Amino acid sequence: MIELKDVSFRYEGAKEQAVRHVSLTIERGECMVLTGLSGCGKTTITRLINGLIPDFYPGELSGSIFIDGEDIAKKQPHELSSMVGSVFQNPRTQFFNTDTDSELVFGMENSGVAYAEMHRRYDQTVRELQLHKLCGRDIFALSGGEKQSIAFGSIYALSPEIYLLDEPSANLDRQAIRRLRDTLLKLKTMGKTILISEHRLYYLRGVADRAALVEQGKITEIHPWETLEGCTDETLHQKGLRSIRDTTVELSEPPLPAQTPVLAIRSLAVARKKNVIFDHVDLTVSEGEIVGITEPNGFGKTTLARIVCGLMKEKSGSVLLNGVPARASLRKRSTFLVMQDPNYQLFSDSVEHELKLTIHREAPQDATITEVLRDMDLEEMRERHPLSLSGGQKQRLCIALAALSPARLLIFDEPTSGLDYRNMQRVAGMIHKLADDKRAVLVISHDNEFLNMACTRIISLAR
Amino acid sequence: MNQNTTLKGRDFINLGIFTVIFIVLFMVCMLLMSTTIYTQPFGTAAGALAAGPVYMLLRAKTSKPWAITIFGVLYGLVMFVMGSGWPILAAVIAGALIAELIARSGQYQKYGRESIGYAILMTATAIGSYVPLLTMKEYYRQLAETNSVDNEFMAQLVEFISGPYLVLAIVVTFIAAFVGTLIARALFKKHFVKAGLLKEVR
Amino acid sequence: MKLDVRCKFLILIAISVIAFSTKDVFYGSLVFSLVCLLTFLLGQGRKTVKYIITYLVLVAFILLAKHVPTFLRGMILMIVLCIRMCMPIALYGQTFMKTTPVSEMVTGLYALHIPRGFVITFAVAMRFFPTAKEEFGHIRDAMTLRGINLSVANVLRRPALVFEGLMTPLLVRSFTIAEELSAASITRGLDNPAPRTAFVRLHVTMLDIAITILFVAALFGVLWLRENGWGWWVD
Repeated sequence: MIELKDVSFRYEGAKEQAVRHVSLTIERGECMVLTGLSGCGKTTITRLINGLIPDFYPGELSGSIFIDGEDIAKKQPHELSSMVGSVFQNPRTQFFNTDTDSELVFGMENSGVAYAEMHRRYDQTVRELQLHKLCGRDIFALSGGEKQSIAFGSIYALSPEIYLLDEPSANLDRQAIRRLRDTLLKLKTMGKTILISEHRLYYLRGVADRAALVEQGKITEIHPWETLEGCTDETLHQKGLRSIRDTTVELSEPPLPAQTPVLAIRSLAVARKKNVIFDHVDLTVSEGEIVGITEPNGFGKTTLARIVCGLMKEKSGSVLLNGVPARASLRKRSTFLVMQDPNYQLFSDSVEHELKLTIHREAPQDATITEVLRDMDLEEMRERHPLSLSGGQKQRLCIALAALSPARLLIFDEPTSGLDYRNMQRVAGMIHKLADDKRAVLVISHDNEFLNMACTRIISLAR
Repeated sequence: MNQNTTLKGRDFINLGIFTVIFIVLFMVCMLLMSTTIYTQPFGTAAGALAAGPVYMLLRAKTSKPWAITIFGVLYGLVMFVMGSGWPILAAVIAGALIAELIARSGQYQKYGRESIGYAILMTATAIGSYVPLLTMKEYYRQLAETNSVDNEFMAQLVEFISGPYLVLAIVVTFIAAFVGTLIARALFKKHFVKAGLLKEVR
Repeated sequence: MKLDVRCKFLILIAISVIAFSTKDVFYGSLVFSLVCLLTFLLGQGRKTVKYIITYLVLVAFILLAKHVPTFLRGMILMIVLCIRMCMPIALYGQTFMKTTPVSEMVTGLYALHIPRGFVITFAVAMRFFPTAKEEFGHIRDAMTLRGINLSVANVLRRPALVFEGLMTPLLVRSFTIAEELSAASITRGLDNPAPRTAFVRLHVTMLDIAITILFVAALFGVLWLRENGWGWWVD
């Protein structure tokens, strides 16, 4: 169905090739996973197949790509849109319309599907993907997982033979990932060909037929999924891959604190415009502890982080820092939050300036900066522009900011979205280091594998 | 036609997105400045200064024919619908066409020409939004009468604001817009080029 | 009640023209009342009531302004005027967006023979307004966390840093969103030159035409009355 013959590609302006001499054949009805470290070139391979390369991302392309036996070199992306459907990483940026119905029919309208046929396919899509609850809604009011479902629906309505997914689980919670898995299984029974580029592997068990390892722009290994089943987690981790088994977390009760906890939350309730987001939340984090917050889905975990940092005010209940009730304005100054998307938190024109940008206190000494950069494995990047770093490096730079801040309470909101195993391990290591340095850490995540690796205690806020 | 001179879906998406940011920033500045009657005439100048980088980034992303015109029409229509009246629509479209011609003379590749085009577009906006202010003179007098305001004071104020002050405001807008593009240039060099998002600032 | 999208566009233009020409309290209020009636009929009762309450508060301000010093009065009246003038448009505009899906708006614009470039740009702009709000919220959070909050003190003491701290993430994020949105749209055939088809079929009913004519006529009637000085009970 898909055949890549000795394909190499170099992005315009880049020094090195993103993919080098890649040859790959995917049979009709097969589901293939591309995995490997961030920046290894797996996303580039998906872009070769949906035609975004070289039309949308210009550069130097060699080799040839066949879909259904046809060379796609001369085809525009819109000519491929009825054959290849693409789902991207970020559900927030892949919808064109503001309401769900318009979005579901967007592709059909563009390709000129006739009125009656369009309505038939719309009804079929809603029925087969069970989107009834999402019809006629404002997309902005949907959760990330629901947005992803609509994105899927929009492509499903075009009924392509090939589905390309670029890290579809990166911004989803566990429940949404389960839904994604169900959708993929459905596509498989329909005989569709699926290519997924992904870090998280556990949900693809029983879905994927083969897995390819991409390293530095080359496909180095291709195995049937059964071979992966035979591997231990250690073997996978050594290659920078995440576990193929779903991990569970063990919840534990807080130990009796030896001293005053850094953070204590007592029967906290939060509301936005009269809608109660959550109430009766109790939580303590002591020095040296790394507390992970997991389930339930849709709990408003990010809201909790914003409350603790003083970005939002509570409705009732109290937040105590070091045993003293702290108002929002005080919390703003005595906590540090590493946001889910590090792009928002970087302001300066070099890594060094970023770490020196301080308002209410003196900038750290050069020696301190050097030490922190060494800890975070960013020494080489000192002069680089923060926004030119890779996702993992940006994440580490934000952690460096946390390390340099005087705050004793540090909060991490989904620190692993889009990180490969190696970066995830690094982040976990750094969080441990911060906790050893007499701080208290709160980690908010639905990534069980990471929570187990990073936290000293994991709790659920479900009542 | 050549691929690089025809506007495509991606360009329209850039136009839509950056026009929105431009309008929001511009409106916020106008609103802040209109809280006092003395600063109100400088609303466009403040907007032109603050939104300069947005416009220049849009230009860097869509350096093709007709992009400025589309921006102008959309921007003018929004201003019109927001209740600023037809003079602003006409002035903005005229300004955008002039800016388009100036940019075209440099094959849409010269930063300096884009800057001057922007300054002219903003000056046109200022002129378009102050024409209604002149008609408001009558309204102010009426207001003063019906609300038994100190007539003398109001009349003086209105005269002052509608006379030399407006000319000054229009000149300041031109300068502010130009300075806005200089700030944009500095911002692009410091961040966008260094981060590899833009190739270079011409 | 439903109204054809093209009629809605026509009414939008009419309101923009009239609201601008009727600044005085009496005729302005008349225009506002007409718009309220229309939005109420379009099923936005709750929103309409909210607007009416705000409007009444503003009118109360105008009355109160008599009792403050001259200098302040000018200021208050100016601000009130600006807000009051925008209200009919804002109310109608919000109703328009709430009652018309983007795909229907796009279909309507194509039916009015608006060039493709304008239609796509317009549709993206509609979609980006809420996104811009979300983005701004995130950026404000991040700035606050670093101590560069958008406070008056910070704006006065370090304007350059605040401006840079706001503009850089805003532009960079928009840049990224533009790229990701473009990729997602292009792979779903945005650049397809084939004639676009529509999910919603437009058809103008006699009722649509009647309502539109009636409403636009009423608006222009207000203008006519104002020009011909029929306000005998205002004097």
